Amino acid sequence: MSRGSLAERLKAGDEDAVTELVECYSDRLLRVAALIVRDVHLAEDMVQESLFDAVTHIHQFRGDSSIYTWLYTILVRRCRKQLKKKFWNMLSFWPKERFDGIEDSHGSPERDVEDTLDRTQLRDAVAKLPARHREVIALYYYEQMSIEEVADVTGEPVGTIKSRLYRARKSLQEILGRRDTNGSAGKRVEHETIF
Amino acid sequence: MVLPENEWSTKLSSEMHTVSFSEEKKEQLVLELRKALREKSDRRSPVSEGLWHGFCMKLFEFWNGTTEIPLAAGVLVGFIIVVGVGGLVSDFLLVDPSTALLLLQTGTETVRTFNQGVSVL
Repeated sequence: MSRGSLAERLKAGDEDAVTELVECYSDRLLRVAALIVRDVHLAEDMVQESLFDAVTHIHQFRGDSSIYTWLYTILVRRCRKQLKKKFWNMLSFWPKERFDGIEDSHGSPERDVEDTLDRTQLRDAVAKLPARHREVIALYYYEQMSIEEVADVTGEPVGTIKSRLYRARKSLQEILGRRDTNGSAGKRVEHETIF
Repeated sequence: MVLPENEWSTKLSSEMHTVSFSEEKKEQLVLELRKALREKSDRRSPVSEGLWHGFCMKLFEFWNGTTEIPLAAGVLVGFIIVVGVGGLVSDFLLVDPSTALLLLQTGTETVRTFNQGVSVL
């Protein structure tokens, strides 16, 4: 089933297309949103709202881009709006272990500390980047979009995305380097764990 | 050893793999979206509804996207503030013609005195 036909079916009011939409995209959107907003529960809300927006505004989808890019555009806008609510974010005092509530079907109870450290190494590092850097890292590295696609989704010029990606990459390397130095002693720096 | 950049995509995918919607949540989401799609199809609006409806929707989206205060509560609070502050300030805002004349005269006198001082200098 091609993506174009999914949009057409949604426009035609085909309810089975909704199931397909959720099956194909919900988890991927959730992971990108979680990387951007650094909170899985908030990310779930973002994805639900984005999919709701997509379904109710499907007639506005002109098909110039793929539905995949369109969905990410809606999601990124939603996440940005959420992050703009700084005042409320300040009041909420996020607990630091944001991913702990998520069921880990691949983990074992005997997982050792080193394994846990390694398992969340990169996402913890991404969480320390500024919001706009997290966006490009999530889309470019997790979603493996091209720079042009990232530019489409974020609504920024290609040049801006390139420079943002360069800076994000450098910061991430620094964080990973620092973390590696701390991690080699087998210690996790508590305040650095955001997820 | 620092994780090499060419492994970031794979590593990030494996680290994020555990983050997913539960089956119940997915089912719930599908139900809600189906309902939304059905409702939207039922009230597929005529084009004439367009502009005003679009404007209102954008206004609501902006409000909901930037604040966490319900619109009705916001309007009510605004109204109370206007009424409260209006009562306090109304005395200052009322202009009595004789007071206004006096103020005008005083202002003119001051300017004249100032100008005389400047011309003497």
